[in-house]
Amino acid sequence: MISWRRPATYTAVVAVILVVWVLLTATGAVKPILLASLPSVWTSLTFLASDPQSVLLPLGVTLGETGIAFGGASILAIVIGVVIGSSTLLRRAYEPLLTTANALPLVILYPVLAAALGVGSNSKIALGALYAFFPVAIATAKAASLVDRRLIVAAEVMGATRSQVTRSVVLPAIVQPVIAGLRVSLALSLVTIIAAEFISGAGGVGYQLAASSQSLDTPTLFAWVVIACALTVVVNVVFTIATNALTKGIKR
Amino acid sequence: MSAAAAPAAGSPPLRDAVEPVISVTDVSLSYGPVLAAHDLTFDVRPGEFVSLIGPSGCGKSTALRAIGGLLAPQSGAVIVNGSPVTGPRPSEISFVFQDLALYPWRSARRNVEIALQFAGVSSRERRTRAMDALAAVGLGDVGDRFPSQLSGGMQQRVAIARALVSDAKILLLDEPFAALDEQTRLKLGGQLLTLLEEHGKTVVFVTHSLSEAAYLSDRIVVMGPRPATIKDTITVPLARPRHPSSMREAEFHSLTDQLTGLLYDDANE
Ligand SMILES: Nc1ncnc2c1ncn2[C@@H]1O[C@H](COP(=O)(O)OP(=O)(O)O)[C@@H](O)[C@H]1O
Ligand SMILES: [Mg+2]
Repeated sequence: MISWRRPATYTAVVAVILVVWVLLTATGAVKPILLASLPSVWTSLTFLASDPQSVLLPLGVTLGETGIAFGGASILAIVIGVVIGSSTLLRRAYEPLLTTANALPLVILYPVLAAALGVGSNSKIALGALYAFFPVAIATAKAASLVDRRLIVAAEVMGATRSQVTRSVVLPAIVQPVIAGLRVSLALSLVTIIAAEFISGAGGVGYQLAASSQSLDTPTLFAWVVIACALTVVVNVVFTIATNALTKGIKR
Repeated sequence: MSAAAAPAAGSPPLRDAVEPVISVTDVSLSYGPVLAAHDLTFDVRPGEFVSLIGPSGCGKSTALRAIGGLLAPQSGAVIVNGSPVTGPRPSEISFVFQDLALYPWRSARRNVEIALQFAGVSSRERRTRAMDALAAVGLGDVGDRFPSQLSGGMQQRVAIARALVSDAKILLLDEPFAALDEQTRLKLGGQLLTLLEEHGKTVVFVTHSLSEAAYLSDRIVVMGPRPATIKDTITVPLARPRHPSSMREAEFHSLTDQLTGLLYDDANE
């Protein structure tokens, strides 16, 4: 029923962007050095595609870093969130801490991370993980604290152990808010990692953006912008499919 | 020997000879500083159906929680199967909560199964036993529906099926038919009686309906409000098995009159 609307909306948005793009460049309203014309970007894209490695390798680097950062941080955040959210005492003590830490511009830590872990992938993964951690931890702690006590008591009366209560009552009860937190975290970690690659590094989509920008190769720069957008869209679609499957698996 | 053998004057001598499965002796219960029940004493014998009746908010659920091990007595003792209750006893006691506590993300069948899952029953056996329990309460065909897709009465029957499916012999029911009209409530109550006899369950049943208590019970514990105290314990003079026609007998009417009198006293205090 609704499934056709989403692709239709996306197509419309992309079409509008392309039209504005063409208008801006064709009329000469914006200099080609600032915004490459659509045909020149297309040429750069086909050139990049002629050597698939030149696209796949940076994509692989960025995806790999994001996967490790997002995956590791989310698992840790869910565990910590459930522990904190399940206890009134821990929640009082740690929830303000999480919220405050989340509000900090964590990117200020990047120089420290780069000094400690080197300018390679590790420092980027660490920064991405820092950004991914807090939204999930906060969403999980909040949701876990809101689980209907009566459902937990009913499980205990039926003989559930603590771990059974967590697995069969708490986790299924909090999936929706946790997924919302995960979605925010995924976007944040991807953006953070691309930005970190842009600032310093020798690989990944961010590095390609930086390299083409520094060599004033505007068409290639925009080709990479297009690739980065496509990457974001694909990552989000995969995430949606995965979480829908998870939700279906729980509600049965 | 239980000190709880002293209560209701009219108890037949035969019953006193049997050890109670549940004995509540001089139990006081409180929530923080608030005393919710004072000096409760009653007992329940094997296979017996005992109702707790009283005005809403008087402490019936609180008393049931104490028997179920969810609320520790401030003084006095709750003894189940010979030992003091200190926490839930899933293998001996099953509970139907006033608010049902069904899991919204689980289908009716899987809501029933969860009791067996926690008891370590294999998934295949869980499935068949859950379907049987649902069929027994007349819900054999809605096992795949979620609680939100069931009427209030059907949800209550799912909760009852979940309590019946376990091997526990003691069943604590907290106003399980509260959401129903009087006729449906009595009809389901009658069906419940048959099931309970088949399974050999001992029941403590909370209600605020006089006719429900009179129709279903062997004995009725009448409670007064704030803090809950026991006003009287009445033995129901009606023969078993009960039938809707039981409600036309003179004994039924004099019993409900007596109950009305006891509860009406409260209202005047
Ligand atoms: N969790 C609780 N905390 C504090 N007070 C409670 C709690 N549960 C019940 N009470 C109080 O205890 C009294 C008895 O409640 P309850 O046992 O639920 O009554 P009933 O089941 O007879 O309607 C009421 O005054 C109620 O406000
Ligand atoms: Mg109640």
